[in-house]
Amino acid sequence: MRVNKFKIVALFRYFWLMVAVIIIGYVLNKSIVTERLLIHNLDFSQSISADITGWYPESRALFDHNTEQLVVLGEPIYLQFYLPVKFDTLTIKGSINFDVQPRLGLRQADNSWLFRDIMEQDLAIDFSLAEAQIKNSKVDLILSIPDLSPTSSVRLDNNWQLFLSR
Amino acid sequence: MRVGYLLVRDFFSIALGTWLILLFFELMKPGMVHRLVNLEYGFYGLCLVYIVLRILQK
Repeated sequence: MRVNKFKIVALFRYFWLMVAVIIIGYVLNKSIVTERLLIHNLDFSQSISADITGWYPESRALFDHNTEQLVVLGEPIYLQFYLPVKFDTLTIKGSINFDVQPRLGLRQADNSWLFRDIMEQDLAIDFSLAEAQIKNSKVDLILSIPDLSPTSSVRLDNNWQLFLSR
Repeated sequence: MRVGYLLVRDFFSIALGTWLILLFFELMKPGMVHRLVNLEYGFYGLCLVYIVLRILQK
């Protein structure tokens, strides 16, 4: 009987060890990136996920579940994404409907923003990450619409992708 | 009671070791662990298990 009790203890010990190894393995597996190209698929219906935070503040953006679009109510709005390792370039692809000129910016190391105007509905914008500010392995993006008014409309389709390459 | 104590002791020591390894990863590369596992809740859980362990030890 005594042996059986200690067998149970040993069994549980191996079980806890297995759980610990699985947790550590899961974290390492999610953090080690060996690919030359990493793609983040943005889902605007969730403001927070493991890799992406945003667009925020939430009071300035509303996700319309009927049209699957993010309606911009105020500006600027921000997005933060996780950078597991060093990448050279960031390409943002997606589509946006607007009647006032929006612009997309990347926070630089000196805390300024490097802006690119969004000219077309289907956007493909490149940024160099060489001078980007990487704080706690995160990079900040901004969507600024200086001329946004209550009568104007800016809607982001829920198909945006971030391509990180090196 | 003895078996219960041994079970909790094993769980506590392995959980503490895992938490310290994860903390080391987080300090090494901020955001690496915290985006997946909440270390703060883990710390509270460890405190709770430690209290249970001390109660069982008496």
